[in-house]
Amino acid sequence: MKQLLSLTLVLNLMIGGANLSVAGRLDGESLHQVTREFVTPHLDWGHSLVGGPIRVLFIANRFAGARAAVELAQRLDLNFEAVVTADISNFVVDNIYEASVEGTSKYEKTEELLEKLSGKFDVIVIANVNFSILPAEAQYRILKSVSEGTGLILGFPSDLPFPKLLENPTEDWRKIFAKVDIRTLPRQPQPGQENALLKTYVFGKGRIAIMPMADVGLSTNEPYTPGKWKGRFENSLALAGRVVQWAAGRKITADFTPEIMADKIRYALDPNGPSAVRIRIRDAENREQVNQQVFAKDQAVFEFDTSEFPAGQYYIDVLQGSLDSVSEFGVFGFEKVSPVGVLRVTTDKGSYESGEKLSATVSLEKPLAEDATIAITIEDLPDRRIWARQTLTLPKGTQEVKTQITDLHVPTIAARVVAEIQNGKKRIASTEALVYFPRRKLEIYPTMLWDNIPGSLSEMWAAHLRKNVPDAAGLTHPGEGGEHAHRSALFNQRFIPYVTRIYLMAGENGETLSKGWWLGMPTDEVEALSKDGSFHNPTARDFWKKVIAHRTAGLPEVGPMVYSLGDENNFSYEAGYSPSDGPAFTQFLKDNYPNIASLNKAWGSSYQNFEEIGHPSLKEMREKSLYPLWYAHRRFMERQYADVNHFLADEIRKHDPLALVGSEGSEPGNIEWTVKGLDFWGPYADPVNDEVLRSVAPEKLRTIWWGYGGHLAYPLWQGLLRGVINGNSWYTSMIEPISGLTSVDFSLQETYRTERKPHVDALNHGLAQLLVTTPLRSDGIAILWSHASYSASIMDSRFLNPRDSAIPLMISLYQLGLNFTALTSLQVEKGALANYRILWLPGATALSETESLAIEEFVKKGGIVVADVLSGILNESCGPLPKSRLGTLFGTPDLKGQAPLEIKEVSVDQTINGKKIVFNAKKARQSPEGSIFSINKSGKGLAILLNFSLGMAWNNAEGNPEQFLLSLLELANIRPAIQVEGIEKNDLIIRVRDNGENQVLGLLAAFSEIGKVATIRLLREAWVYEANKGLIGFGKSFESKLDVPFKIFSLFPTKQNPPLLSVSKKSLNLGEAVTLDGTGLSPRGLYRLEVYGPDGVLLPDFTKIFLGQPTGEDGVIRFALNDASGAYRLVLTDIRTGLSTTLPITTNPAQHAEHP
Amino acid sequence: MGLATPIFAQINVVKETRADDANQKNIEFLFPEGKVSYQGKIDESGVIDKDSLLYGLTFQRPLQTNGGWSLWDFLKITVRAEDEALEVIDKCLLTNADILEDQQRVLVSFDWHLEKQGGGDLQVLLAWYPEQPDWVFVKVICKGAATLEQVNLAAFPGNTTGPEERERWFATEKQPPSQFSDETHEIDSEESGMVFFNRFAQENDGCLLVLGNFPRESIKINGSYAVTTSVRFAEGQTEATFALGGFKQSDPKEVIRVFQMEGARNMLNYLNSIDWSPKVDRKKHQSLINNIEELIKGTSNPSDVENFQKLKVAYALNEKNGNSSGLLDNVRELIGLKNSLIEAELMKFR
Repeated sequence: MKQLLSLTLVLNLMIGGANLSVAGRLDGESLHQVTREFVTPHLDWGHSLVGGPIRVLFIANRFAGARAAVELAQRLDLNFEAVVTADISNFVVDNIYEASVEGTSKYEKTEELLEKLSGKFDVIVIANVNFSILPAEAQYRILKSVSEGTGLILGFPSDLPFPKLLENPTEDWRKIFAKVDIRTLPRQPQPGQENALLKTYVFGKGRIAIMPMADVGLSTNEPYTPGKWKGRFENSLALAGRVVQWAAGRKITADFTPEIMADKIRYALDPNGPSAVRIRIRDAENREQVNQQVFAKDQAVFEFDTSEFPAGQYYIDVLQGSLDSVSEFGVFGFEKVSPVGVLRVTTDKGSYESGEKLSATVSLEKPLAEDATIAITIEDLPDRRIWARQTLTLPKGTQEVKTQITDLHVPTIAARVVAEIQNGKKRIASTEALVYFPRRKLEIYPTMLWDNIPGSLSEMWAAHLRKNVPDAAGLTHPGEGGEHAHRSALFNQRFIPYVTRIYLMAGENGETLSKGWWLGMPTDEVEALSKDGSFHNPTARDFWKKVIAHRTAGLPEVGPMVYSLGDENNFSYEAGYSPSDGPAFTQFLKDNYPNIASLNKAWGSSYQNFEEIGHPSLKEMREKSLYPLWYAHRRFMERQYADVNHFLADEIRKHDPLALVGSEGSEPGNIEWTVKGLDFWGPYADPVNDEVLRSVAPEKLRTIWWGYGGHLAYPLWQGLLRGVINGNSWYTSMIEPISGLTSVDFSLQETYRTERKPHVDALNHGLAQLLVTTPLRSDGIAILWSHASYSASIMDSRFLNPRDSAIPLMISLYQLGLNFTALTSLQVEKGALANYRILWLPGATALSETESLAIEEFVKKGGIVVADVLSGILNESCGPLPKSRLGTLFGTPDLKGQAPLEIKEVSVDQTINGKKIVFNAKKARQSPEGSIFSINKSGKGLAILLNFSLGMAWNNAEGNPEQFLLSLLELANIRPAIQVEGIEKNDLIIRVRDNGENQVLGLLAAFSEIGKVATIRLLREAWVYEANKGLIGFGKSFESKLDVPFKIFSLFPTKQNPPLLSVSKKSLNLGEAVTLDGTGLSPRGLYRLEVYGPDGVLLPDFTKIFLGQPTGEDGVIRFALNDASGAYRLVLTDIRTGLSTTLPITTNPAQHAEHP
Repeated sequence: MGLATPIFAQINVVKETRADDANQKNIEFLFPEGKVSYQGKIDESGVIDKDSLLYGLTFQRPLQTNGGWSLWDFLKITVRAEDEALEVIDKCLLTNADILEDQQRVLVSFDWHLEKQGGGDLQVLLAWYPEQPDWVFVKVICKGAATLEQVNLAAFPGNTTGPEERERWFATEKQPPSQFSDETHEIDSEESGMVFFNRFAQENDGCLLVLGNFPRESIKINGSYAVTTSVRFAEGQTEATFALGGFKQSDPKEVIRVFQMEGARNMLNYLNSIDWSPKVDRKKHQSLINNIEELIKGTSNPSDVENFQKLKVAYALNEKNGNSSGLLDNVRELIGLKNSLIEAELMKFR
């Protein structure tokens, strides 16, 4: 993906945007500044320390170390500065991406570090940075500073290549651990192993702490789990805090430990010790059970009864000090053992479709000693909204309970099944199991991000992404057993697994090499593919199967949004010469030609049989001008590429029958073949292929990566307006220069926040969906995309590249606001021309007989066909024809197309059907055969041969080439529906959509036009609304100031009213659902339903955008059992008009809600 | 303790002198992304031998081409002195060329003494920054009696020659793309950015030019062979700055779009922000010397002390004589000494 725009120049030009510094580079704050702006849930350990704040310099890596510094500073009274390195083993990284950002060069970063080192600190923390990568002068100054009394803490990697510093170990680590129970820490090291976590030394006047397992800042990472991670992470930072205090020279004692008994916590206060102690008891998820400050002057002993605590893990935090400050703190743990022993809940499956029945079994290790009840709840993740609750009576002696929950609708991907046994109000024991509810329905306009929630500080990442790019899926490798997908699911982030990679490259002798993601695959099997990686090699196919099985393991249960077959997939036309390719090539020919005679006829050859053809090298084919054979080889490789795509997609579907599969950033090959059988295609932008994809895959998910190029939201605006995309793919959610969403402190990167987000949000709030769901108005214009002709142009320079004419034609049509469809040869053969009035044939050198007949028929029935040069002089096999297949149609029956194209002046001045057609260009590529412009009537239609390519002609036109184009379109009675005045036409895109009820007019102006006023003239009067905003007025023209260059208007014949909204009930209990009554809504309307809570704040998770009358879950608003009760407000907005209706509803507490 | 902030980032720039006497110069500066070369020879009649003359910039040159900025005459300067116009580079042999800075940026100078024109001087400064590897920044300065009359900048977007269908095109910061005709195009003298590119061949390589903020009378461009930008100056103008860039294997449409949106403005900001005075930062140098004074207290190697004393003397002498090249050499050696002293100090911790 990184190659998306590997244009160093463009990057250097792009550097800047809103954050351009005077020096012309991108503001580097997001990569350097560690702020406390983004606050995450945390406990207070010592926000006011006795002795004042500790001055700390963190030297931390970019990816987690920097944020970990903030996490510690949130909890402890630190006055900190930070220097952020590129990564754990690179002080800086020297590449063009980094170079575009201020402060990233070695010089700048060194200067920053040395400047900060000149400050006075109590402690220097090297957090996940290899000490050796620091500049020598910095190393020297740090060590010298330590010898003079500054503390030094090294997390992982803790190698300090200066043995003398470690010559004097101390036993102070014991004092630090005296108040931190090692069993409360991540990865649960065993008691007695404290010294593996922490070693202490003195050097000169300074103290040195080495923390080899502190791999996320000064905390120890462990995989995220909803029930356990939170508490242990907190404890880990308590240890870190104590180490920092010690290293800073603060007093660290071993003077207290709470006494933990079966049903009681006892803590003796020292009358000569700290005047106050805060005791905080919390569960494994930091839910406070007790938080009480006691004073030594008031009592000698603090006791707390824990007998009512349900079974589970608890932590006791002890904060010593005075009324308002803390001198020391510590953390201890205890586990409440259940009287029923180990309690387990299991479910019949790990994954459920919406509405599906869930069966749960709860097992008690020991029989119940007395009558009790059990509550089984389904809580979503990560918010723990409760979607079902069942309470069952358990008679004494019960050891197993089975139950079922039906009609279950959980809105998140992951949820917990929680079972809690109670005796009256006393909670005896609880347990939980994780289950998944795949989200199968793809929204109208989904968003995907490169990368998902990482494995360290996952909760913090998730909170940042949820806040700033809500509901975006994350794309990355699946991890072993789908680990990455499961992690995403815990935070309700949909996942897009990067399952494999299709990379059919050519070996030295043209053999097909398969290079893919073979992670975890046996080396010998991978090696075997280096000899013959062709898809036609059964061993290779078997290997692919294993790859798919391995890489999809664990994925189906979380229901990926789509499966990606790879990023930047590609193949080489030079490949195809593996041992298994030879027979396959012969078979490919047999499959395409019924017999050798038909092949000979198509190719103009005289082979005796298919085997005689062999499979010569590309070089030989070119040298011998074996064009049909050369083209057959190209098609053979395109077919192989498509087949691999389809085969792998089918393999994935074997593991996940509901899977949507595609790939992104990939070469299309023959796009029509490749996307067939796939559900998703996300290429790099290409003016022609994008339109062909829209034509051949209208219902499939189509996205184009952006992030590195363009400003504001131009890449999205362009794609959406043209209709070529229906989703958003952003590179990347990670911390990266230029395009990374995330700053080192996990705040939103500034350029994205100011330049992109407002526009991306506006699209997400309905504008994108409006463009996706409203069909482009048919203007009756078709442009043939002949894949065979394109191949022919590569084969021989006599044949015009269809792109030379197609691209300028398409650009002109964008500017004129006229819609078109790029039709493939296959579509033309199947009769697609019936829906059009004019057909352009750009560089249509190679046409099949069926295709030619369809074109002739189209003209006979009244259609107009416009060709540039040499149409139909080759057949669909790129075999030469004695003369053009369309020669008679164009009135040039002897057109052969053998002469090379010439560059000459163009002068057209003719009258057709009373309409004058004039065009002059200083030069254009043209055929020496025939006249420069000819018209032939055929049946009811016209065939116009320009005999010159549009590319050069457009560039060298005298006057406006669009006038020439318009005059030709006039012949088919095609005229633009609107005129836009007052702004520069260059790069302007105008698209008109029509759903039969209203039109949607979209325009995108060049960046330079921002702030100008555009006047839009219509063919007839209309009520004009700015989409999602409101009424502009009624008339035949209107003005719009381009505060943003992208504008969407809706045009109606009648004035519109706010949408009609009613609901099944206006008062309900929590845990129930309200059904929307959409009978008053237009089937063609696009609506956004928003819900505001009792506190008046928008609840984004409730928002729905739907087309027409809502169906399924779109028509239901579900309230969880533990949602806030009170007065809610439903606001339904017609996105087309911006008009909205508000409806109040009231929710009542769920008194006795039980799930069936 | 005195080991203060100054640090040094050395860039690999090399001066290769093949000839340097009163009648002949052949000097080349190689920097990480290109080179600038001067060759000139006085013939027997006492004038520059045109066949020997070369003032070329190898920069933004597509592989296996002669494209990019002109390898032969990327810059021509006409000055006016004593009421006469003089094409300095064509007519006068280079007087001196030197590296002025090699830390944080490359700064080299080419000097022509205009003895016959009232003793004025023409200086061309070229700067290259690691963080802007795709650009070379040029400043032209007239000193003494001479003033600037015209500067010509020549480039071959893509390549010198090309197939028949290749068209030379340009776009400016404000104007959409236009094809070069055989005529010279005059463009708005307020324009500050230009994109030179091709269509129908060599489409993905091109050159970029940004003009600094200086008064100009006219800007003319011609694309009949080389793409030449001729900037004519208002009377009395003595200085002008330029940023010379390019692109390789990029879509010119995208380049133009970005350039027009803000690329040109960004680069103009950058160009305007350049401090062209050679940073012989004596304060920094003094700080470096102070650092070494501190570090050398801990050394047991007498040759370090002796070397340091020698370097201090040499530095003072070069400073007194205004020998910037000599100063840079001294500073390099001082940095080397400091680094070795730091290494020695670090060894004590091992």
